[in-house]
Amino acid sequence: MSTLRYLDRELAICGTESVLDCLLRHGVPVGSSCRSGVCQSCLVQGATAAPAAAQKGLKLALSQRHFFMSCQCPAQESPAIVESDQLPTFTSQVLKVTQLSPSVFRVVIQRPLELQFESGQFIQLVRPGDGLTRPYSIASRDYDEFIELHVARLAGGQMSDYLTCGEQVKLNVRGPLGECVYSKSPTEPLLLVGTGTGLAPLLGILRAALDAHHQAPISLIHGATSLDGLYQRAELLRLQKAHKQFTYTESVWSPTTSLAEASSPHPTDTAPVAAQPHRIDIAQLVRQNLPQLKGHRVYLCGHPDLVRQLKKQCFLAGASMSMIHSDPFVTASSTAAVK
Amino acid sequence: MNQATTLFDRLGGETALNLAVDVFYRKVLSDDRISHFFDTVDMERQHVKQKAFLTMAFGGPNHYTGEDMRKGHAHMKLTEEHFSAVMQHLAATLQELGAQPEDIGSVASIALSVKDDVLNR
Repeated sequence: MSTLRYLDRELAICGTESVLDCLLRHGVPVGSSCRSGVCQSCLVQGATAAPAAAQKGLKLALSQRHFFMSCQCPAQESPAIVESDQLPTFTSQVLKVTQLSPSVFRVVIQRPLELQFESGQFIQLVRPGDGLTRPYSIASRDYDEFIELHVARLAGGQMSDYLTCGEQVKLNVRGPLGECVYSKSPTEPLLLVGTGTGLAPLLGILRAALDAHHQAPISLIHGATSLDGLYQRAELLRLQKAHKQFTYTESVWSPTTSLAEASSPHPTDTAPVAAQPHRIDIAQLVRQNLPQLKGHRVYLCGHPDLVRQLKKQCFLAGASMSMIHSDPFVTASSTAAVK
Repeated sequence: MNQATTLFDRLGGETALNLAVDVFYRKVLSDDRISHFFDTVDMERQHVKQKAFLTMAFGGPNHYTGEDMRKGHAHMKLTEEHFSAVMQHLAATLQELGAQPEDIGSVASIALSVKDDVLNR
């Protein structure tokens, strides 16, 4: 009799039943609702890929991690079912640390040979010894021999302190995760909006799009609550000058930032030709610059409240839900410890 | 109109359904009477739920039972006004997509068939 592997158990399969029916018959609690491959209530994670029909309509982030709808997969054709979120782990180390602004560091780490990713995805960094884990987005290209991360140094931030304390710091890397990746559709207009180090995945996507000679307009809006949060301005302005389809807009809206501060460039990332950053709410800036988003592919990365607000705003402005990708950055002090 | 095809096929199948979900979800999110039921942290999840609802209303594949409908909506304490707002948006969505009046009527009948369960009556 054939069996379905579920964690460390072998469950007997009855006839042509689905994975869902098999699991329920053996007393494994799995949610379900429509049983038609639409509602996604019955998702389970496979050790390897499931048949395509069982992944129809799933977000890339889920299908890449081999999640599938158990009601749509015959138990006979199912991969082994694993506990959720078991990701491959690789060893790595910090190669170089550069200060980009008073609060943001560019941390380059060694790329594990086996780690395949797309620019804009994120990885989890694990500190050896105590297992402290934090997510960071990838700003480098998928073909680079290293991985570039942007690290905001937070007061008392255990991982940010560890990563920026010097070179050859040892790390474990898990991943990749996330669905903020370049769509490889050169005629789709792109809107990239991020706050703080939410710029990292957007930069990864932008680099991939420019490498692919993306034809349609690309608009990148980077916001921060203070000038310290804006970085890579010189690089972005250089790219804007070199690629006519690319527009870079920056926004600082903190009421506490004085005009004198606003006009002084960062000591570590000077941008002499930079115009003054806008001083309005980033959501308002998006609404003002791009009131209609039908046909746009939208990427939103950064503060969770802003990502949520912008997702709704962009959807109501005409962007299709399937073309809005988001990566809310949740810090360790928030209730959820992952992005 | 080809009577041999199903309602789901006549409405345009999976392609039309995917278009309809965006149009419908935008309408309910913009309607102050009911937007609070749909305006959640997880918009993608809510979008998937809307797709499941429209699949059913379009006569597409589903195995919802009256009990599923009751369980899914009991905590929301919905009223006649809420249900009628959803029905209006459903019809307007189909009109926008160019559906035939008879087919819009059929979709309305399917949606009405779950009314008592949704309103927990």
